[in-house]
Amino acid sequence: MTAVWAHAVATIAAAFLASLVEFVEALTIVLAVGIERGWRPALIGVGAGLAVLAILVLTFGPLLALVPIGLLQTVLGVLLLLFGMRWLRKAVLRAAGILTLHDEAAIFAAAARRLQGCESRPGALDTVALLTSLKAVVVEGLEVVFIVIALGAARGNLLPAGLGAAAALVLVVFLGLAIYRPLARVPENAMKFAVGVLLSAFGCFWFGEGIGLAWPAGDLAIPGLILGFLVVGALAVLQARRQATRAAASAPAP
Amino acid sequence: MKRLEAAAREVLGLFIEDTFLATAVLLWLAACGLLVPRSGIDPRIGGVLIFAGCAAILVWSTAKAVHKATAHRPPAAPDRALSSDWKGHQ
Repeated sequence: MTAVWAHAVATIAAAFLASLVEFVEALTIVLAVGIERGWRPALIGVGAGLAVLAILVLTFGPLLALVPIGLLQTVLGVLLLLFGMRWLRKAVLRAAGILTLHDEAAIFAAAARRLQGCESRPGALDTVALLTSLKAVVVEGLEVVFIVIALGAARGNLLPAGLGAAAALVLVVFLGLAIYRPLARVPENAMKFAVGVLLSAFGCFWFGEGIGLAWPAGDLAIPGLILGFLVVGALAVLQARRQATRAAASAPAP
Repeated sequence: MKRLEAAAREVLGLFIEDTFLATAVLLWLAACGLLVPRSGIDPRIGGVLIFAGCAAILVWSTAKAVHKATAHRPPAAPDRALSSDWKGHQ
């Protein structure tokens, strides 16, 4: 029973945090479109983007039931590891100062500048604005769909994964309406680090299950894997900082 | 056709950003998938092997990225950003 709860809670947390990051990124672009070009094309773009995502889910979702569970776990495990470790690597490099931090305010300003440079015919539907909004929703939404399916489909946990994503959506929409600005103060890198850790741990677990490993303590191996990736990620940040400092010290003086 | 290509690149980009990281993870998982179930290794050790390999690849990949970023650093302007990715280490 404890193992089932641990699994469900970890699934909700992973889906919530990962979806939060994606929804914040989508909100930035939709806000830029809405504020710069008007809310009609922005909201039509959001609606069209959601329709595209719904069609994709309804088309490909039922196919998952046809895949043997072992193969499904293996494939989802590999994809989760690729996805999670990509996020974790990026978060480590950002935390060490090697990559610049993601800046929602700067992205908002850049999107607004791009939109200001495009003309639209008065009275006609603003297709540039509509397509910008649609693309943001589809690109970020596709990641949310993948995360929910990857976390939930391998063991019938789609409900907790979906609940986590839905809670993130409600929170971002609420905050977007309340402050009417990009959510620039969200600690995005810390969240990406956490999501990278969680998705990598789930990926490892599903891949092991898929190839027929019996994890010690069953589902309770997941918290152990989360702890393991957390420690490795933190050590990687320290190592990257030390390496960068050494390189700076050994660089020839100007 | 171009739009399809762009969409495919976008989807692929979800999983592959750094070729070294993606290739190393895929090779390691392929090796584990082929060898662990057939070798009769204790499942606990099999699990630890999968995790340890992924952890080592992560550390190796970040070390490579730091090396690449710092190796291209112009000596005359230590605090200047090299590219959009390079922030410096002040």
